Amino acid sequence: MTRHLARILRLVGFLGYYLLELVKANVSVIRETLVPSDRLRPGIAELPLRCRTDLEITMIANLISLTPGTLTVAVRAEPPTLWVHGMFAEDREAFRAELYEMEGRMLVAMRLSAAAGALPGPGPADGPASEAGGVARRSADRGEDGDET
Amino acid sequence: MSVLLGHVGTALVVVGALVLALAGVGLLRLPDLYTRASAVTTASGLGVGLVLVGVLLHHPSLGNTVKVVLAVVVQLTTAAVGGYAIARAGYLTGVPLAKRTRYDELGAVVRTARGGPERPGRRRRPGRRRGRGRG
Repeated sequence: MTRHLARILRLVGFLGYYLLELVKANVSVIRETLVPSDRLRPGIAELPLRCRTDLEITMIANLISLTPGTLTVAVRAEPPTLWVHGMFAEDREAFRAELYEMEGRMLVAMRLSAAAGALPGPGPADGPASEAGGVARRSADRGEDGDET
Repeated sequence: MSVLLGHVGTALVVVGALVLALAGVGLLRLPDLYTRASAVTTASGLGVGLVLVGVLLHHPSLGNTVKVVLAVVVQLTTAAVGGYAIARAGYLTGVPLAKRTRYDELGAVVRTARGGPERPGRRRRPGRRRGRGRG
């Protein structure tokens, strides 16, 4: 019983964190709309997820879409992966880290165990990742950073 | 008290309307489909949410609260799913990314799945759109 109560409290806490993120991101998108600048650096990043159930994947995909400046473009259930378009995503690793922070907080709030699990490691040590995922990761690594500068 | 609530409600309605208006400006000024969809997805959710909560403060009651909560949840859900559907449809039909886009890690996956060396983000049949004008 107390575990369920604790989860409700964590959900409320996550809601607060999310609302804050929502406002912050909104401000940067509105600023970009009014005063177009060099800060706009879009990109589509692959995001292997720690989410496992359909509910978790659906929730994180929609939460990401609802945050201004980030939009889920594609979803794969097996292994769980999102492709996320970001408006201010100059550095893809920093962009991924932001998304992972939100995913981690969401999973801690949603799961009774309050554990998000380990971040997917880089490279082929991905475990049972499917072929498509492996191929995508390797080709992504080849075109590493600054390719179009 | 209720006068204060009314003022706060009016402010929320105005802010919500501003957010929606700015989303419209973003629709015109942002560089490609994906950034536009991104801006509008959120703004429609947030803007409508603010307007609804503002109206609720003018007419606070239990019944209205239930209605507003329901409306905001449904609005946020449909906005998120709709934004995803638009972006996905755009990507799969080859709507190009803005030139300043830094990287596209989805491209390799789509290329592999289609089994061709074709670059996604380019139109598959370049002449198709122009066909209508000639007819």
